[in-house]
Amino acid sequence: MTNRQATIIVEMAVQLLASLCLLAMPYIAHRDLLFGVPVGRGFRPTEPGRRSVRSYRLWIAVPSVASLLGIILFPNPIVSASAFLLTVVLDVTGFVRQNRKLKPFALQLPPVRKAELGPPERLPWFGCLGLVLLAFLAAAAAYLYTHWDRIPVRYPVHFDLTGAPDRWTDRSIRGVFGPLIFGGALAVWMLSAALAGWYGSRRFGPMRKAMLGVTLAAEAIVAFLFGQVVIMYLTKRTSEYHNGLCDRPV
Amino acid sequence: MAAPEIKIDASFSTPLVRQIVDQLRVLLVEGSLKPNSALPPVRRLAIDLGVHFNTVAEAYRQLAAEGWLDLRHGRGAIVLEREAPAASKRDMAGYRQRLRELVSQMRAQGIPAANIAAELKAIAEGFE
Repeated sequence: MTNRQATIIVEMAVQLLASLCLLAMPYIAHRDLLFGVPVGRGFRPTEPGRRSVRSYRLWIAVPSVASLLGIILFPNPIVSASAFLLTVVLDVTGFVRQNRKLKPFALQLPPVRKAELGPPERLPWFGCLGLVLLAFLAAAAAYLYTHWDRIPVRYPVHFDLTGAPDRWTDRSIRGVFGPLIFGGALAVWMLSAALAGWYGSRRFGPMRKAMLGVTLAAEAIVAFLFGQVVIMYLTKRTSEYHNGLCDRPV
Repeated sequence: MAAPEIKIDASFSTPLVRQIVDQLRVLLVEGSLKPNSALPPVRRLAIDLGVHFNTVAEAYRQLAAEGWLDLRHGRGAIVLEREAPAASKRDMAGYRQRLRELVSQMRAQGIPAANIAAELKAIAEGFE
C-alpha cells in the first residue's frame, strides 16, 4: 500500500467518523431537547419529531456520501479538507434549520420558578485549567523565542503514516509562531465558550459541570496539539534532521 | 445553612417585578438577607427565574430606592444596614386599608377571626 492510498483511507475514516458523529447528534443530546429546543420527553416519537430527525439525517447523509466519493475520485488534500469543512458547515446549517422549525413546539417555562439567593457562584476547581493551558502556549512561544538559534533553518512540520517528514517549512516568525498563534486563538475561543456556557446557564443544571469539563478538555487537546510544535522543532526529529537522518534537499 | 430562595408565579396577576420586590423585602425584613451580603447579579437571578434582565434590574432599583440595597457599578447589589423610618399617618392609613381588604377576603373564605389574628401576630413578631 502506498502512502497516498494510506492517506486516502485515513481521510475517508475521519470523514466517516465525523459524519456518524453528526448523525448521532440528535440522540446524544438530553432527552428533553431536540436540536437545542426544549420539547419535552414525549416529543421525539411524534410525527413532527420524527420528521425533523429524518430531515436532519438526509441533510447530513447526502453531503457525507458526496464527500466520501470526492475523496475517492479526486484524491487531493484540498478536496478532502473542503469536503470535511463542507460537511461541518452543512451540519451547522441543518441544526439551525431544525432548531427554527421546532421553535413552535418548544415547551413554555413552568409558571412557578424558584431561585436561590446565595453568594455569587465560583467556578469548579478545574475551571482554572483554561488559563493554565493558555499559559502553556505562551510558555511554548517564549521557549521558542529564547531558543531561536536552536531552531533549524528548515525543519519538518508534518509526518506521514510511517513517521517520515512529508512537509517542511523555513525558520520564520510566521512559520514558527503561526501554529502557536492559531492554537492560542482556538484555545481562547474554546475557553470563552466554556465560560459562556457556565455563566449563561441556570444554576444547578444537571449537565452544567460536565459541559464545562468537556469544553476545557477539548481546549487541552488543542493546546497540547499546537504546543507540541515546540518539541517537534527542538528535539529528536530536528536533531535527526541535523544529522542527516531525515534527508531533504534544501 | 441553605441560602434563602424566592419563588415567582407567572400565572398570578401580580406583576413579576412586584413579586420579586415583595419577596426580597420579606427576606430583608426577616433578616434572612444580612447587611453587607451580596445578592446574585442581575443576569444570574434573571436566568435562574426565567425572566428578562430588566425585570430583576427594576426590582433591585426599587429596593435600592427604599434604602435596602446599595447598587454600585461592578459591585453588584449589596444589602445595607437600614434604620426603619417612622411611618407617616398616611402610610399607616394605606396599610390599614390593605389589611382590612386582606382580612375581609380571609373571613369571606371562612377563616375564623382568631386564626387570622394569630397569623398576623406571628408574622408581625417574626419580623422583629
